[in-house]
Amino acid sequence: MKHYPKNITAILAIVAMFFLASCSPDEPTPTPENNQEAITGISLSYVLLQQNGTPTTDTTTITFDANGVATPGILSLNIGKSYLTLITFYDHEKVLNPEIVQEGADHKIFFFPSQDGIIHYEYNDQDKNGNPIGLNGKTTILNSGTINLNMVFRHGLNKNSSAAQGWNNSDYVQAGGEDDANISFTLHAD
Amino acid sequence: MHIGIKAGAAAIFFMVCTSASYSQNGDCNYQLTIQIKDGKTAENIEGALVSTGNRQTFSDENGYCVFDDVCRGRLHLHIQTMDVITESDIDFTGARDTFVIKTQSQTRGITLDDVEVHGHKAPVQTINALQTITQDQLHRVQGASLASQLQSIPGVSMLQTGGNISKPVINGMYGNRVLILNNGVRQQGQQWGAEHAPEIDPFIAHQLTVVKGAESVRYGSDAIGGVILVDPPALPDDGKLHSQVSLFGAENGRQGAASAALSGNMKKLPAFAWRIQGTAKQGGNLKTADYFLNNTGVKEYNYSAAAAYTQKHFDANIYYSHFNTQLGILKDFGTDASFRYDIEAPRQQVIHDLLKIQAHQHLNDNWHLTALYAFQQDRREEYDLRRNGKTSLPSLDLKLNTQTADLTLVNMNNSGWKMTAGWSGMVQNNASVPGTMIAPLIPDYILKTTGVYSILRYQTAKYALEAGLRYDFMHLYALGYDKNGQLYGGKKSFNSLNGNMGSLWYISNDWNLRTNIGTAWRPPSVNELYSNGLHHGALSYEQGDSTMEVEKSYKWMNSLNYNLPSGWFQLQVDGYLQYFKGYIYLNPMDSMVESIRGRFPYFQYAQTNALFTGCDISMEIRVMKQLEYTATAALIRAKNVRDNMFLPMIPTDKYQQELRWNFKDQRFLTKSFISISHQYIAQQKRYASGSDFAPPPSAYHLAGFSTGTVMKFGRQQLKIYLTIDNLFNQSYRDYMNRYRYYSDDMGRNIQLRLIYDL
Repeated sequence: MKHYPKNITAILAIVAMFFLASCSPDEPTPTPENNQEAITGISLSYVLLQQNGTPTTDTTTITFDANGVATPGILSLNIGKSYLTLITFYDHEKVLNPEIVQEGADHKIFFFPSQDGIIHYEYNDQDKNGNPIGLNGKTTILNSGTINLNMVFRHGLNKNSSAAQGWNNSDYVQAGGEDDANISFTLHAD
Repeated sequence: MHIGIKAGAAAIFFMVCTSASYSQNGDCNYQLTIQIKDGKTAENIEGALVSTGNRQTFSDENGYCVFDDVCRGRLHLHIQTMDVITESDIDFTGARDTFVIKTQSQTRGITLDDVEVHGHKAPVQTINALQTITQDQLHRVQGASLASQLQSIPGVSMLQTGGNISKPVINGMYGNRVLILNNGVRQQGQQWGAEHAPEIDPFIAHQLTVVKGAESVRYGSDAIGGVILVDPPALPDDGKLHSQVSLFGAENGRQGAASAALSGNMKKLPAFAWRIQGTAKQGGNLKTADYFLNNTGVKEYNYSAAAAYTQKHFDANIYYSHFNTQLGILKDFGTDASFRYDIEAPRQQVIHDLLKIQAHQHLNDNWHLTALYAFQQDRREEYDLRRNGKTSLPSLDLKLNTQTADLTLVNMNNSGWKMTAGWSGMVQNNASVPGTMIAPLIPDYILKTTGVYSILRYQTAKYALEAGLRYDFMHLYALGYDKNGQLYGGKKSFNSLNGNMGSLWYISNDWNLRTNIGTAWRPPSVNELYSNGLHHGALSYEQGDSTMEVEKSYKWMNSLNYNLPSGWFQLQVDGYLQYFKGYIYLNPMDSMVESIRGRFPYFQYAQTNALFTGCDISMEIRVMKQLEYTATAALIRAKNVRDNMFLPMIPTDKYQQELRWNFKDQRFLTKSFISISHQYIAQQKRYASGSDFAPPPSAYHLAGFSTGTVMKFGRQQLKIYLTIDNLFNQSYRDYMNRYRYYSDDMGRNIQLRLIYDL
């Protein structure tokens, strides 16, 4: 074998670079993130309204935990009455509503009753473009029955799309965006 | 599958019966003598593998080799030396003179006394069938993504997330089961993600090679499905300055790309050569047959530099590349989108830097030593629509640093024996960059691997045999904080012994058969071990399993090749059987996870035993002197054999055909052609209902048109190609495109390519 000491040294030096560099941290050092993403709780309040529309003190509230479990499991409201519907979103102790209002143009709440004709919903709030959000609205009980009420809180949707119009548009997915919350509970009207 | 094999067997039988008539030719009694010399040093090369047609032999210690019973006429010679393949076309009149061929690493044809010579780097020396896309073929598809450029090879398909994000799929496998070698360096990015495309600029490539057999012995883990080699051109050695400019324009997405390369070699310093190269690409919203896809633009810029020092028995080179891309993710599907170049959230931003240093020493007549060191950094940021002004903060921000080293020893001589032995190591560090304000999808980790291997090959004129063995050891230490602020992770070790045995048999002048049995492995990836939660932007809840072990496969691959010496007919049939022990997949759990965000189908990463069988067929018929017909078919059948269920995301049957008319060369316009093509993609019927968000889309046909020419002005040449994909603007959805849940696939796309060589 002919000897090329200089060149062989150069070749092995290339490999040595690897060994030098690999004597590096042996333990990963992750940093905890200040996780500000999740909605960890929702409260849905129905405030009984008088005939002239002024709110009374009669309030029924249903809350949802991080797994979407409702407490109480069933909500009872009365036929012929209208209720001021207030929704609050929480990240642990922090109330997220001010952030949602500030970016109102990107957010909308929809309601999907399992049966038609039992309830009717109207939005009371608006974003800067005049489109409704749904943190504040009015639910009117039209008929008796026990239904499953699904509430969807959507962000990033195109509110001008025909699929986003109304309070119970079943094509809402076509308007784009993502569900930030999607919960259901039993509503009993009599 | 059964019908396909019967048809294939019938075709083969027919060909065997008719080939006899072609080989009876009285003009084939001549002796051909060739001498191989090194193009740079003019030394005689011993042990070069010289083949013509279906026969081959080795050059002796003076570089000579002899072929008996050779036909007169135009012959194609293929000469393989250590790392260069030289191809030469000679006019053999039957005379007794020796043809002297000098090895040539350059693409450009050189004519030395009636001998036209082209060269290129040998991508990999293996008994496995490999398919290469190079030169004109590559220029016809340049500008598209890496995975799209490989689609003409049967058995290669792609997993798409829209038209701009695509991952190559070989025989049904992708991601961590396909190894990509970027200029000889294992490409390391976050390849576990279905929507993470390889971070390589295909414009740097001079050839793309796909190896479909198990190459685990040579390359280690992740080569289960196969290997894709992206190789840049060799640096010049003729003392001249070379330049190449490529322009690409596509009507769909109004995409434009420009790439330029300048390379040189100084006459005063012939040992030194260099190249600088850069690419810029931009595109806006893509269009289906009927509507635009909102936010599907792309913006990319890349550059690279290379330098090499070459001496008689020693050469060294250094290479650096920078890749930077921004990709939009489809949003607001179903709305009236229009054309825009702007890219908004959701979007991806990926930067990939690669540095490679390599040296090779020819120790003596037979021994070669090569060393390689590479450093890569992959920075991936993914942005989502977020509340409270956080859309400008990435939801995923990962920095992946990888260092690799390889040491290879090769022994070649003229007795037909070749031995390769090597060691390779890798140290990888993944860290989430703080500030995303959301728990990262995968934990931070440090991965260290080392492997040793040896391959022995014996070659004669009639057959070649190869056997190899490799041992790999891997250590993973992962740690991360989950969405509840809890620390999770742990240490895991993996190891695997793998081997392969293969043979190549030259049955006759027309037929050859390759067969290879090999094992391959891969460790479970970090997301398969530690996923826990909603994959952002996804529709499901995925749970990892940190107790999983390695995935091991046993592949039996056969490749039958029939080549009529006159060149009128070529057939290649690849058939394979691959059994997996511990195949890792996402198992739908038939239950839902309840969360405040809704109810999501629950998937758990699990291991099972799987069987993949398939065949890839390609056929080329020269119907007339100027009319060529090419047809390919690829079929895969994959099953979870332990639970007797079909596996998801397996490519469907794909059939392609092309009819091409080649015009006669004129003074200025050469290699002109016009062609029409057709593709039929079958519906995926091997599907368990309820295991997916939507049933597989129906089968579809696509038509295409292509034309091109090469204009020559002295030493310069200009290639012009016009291609139309989806000629009739067909609306369709493809099973392997993740956007099929939301929208149709791409509509018509008219593309123009100009490649200018100086």
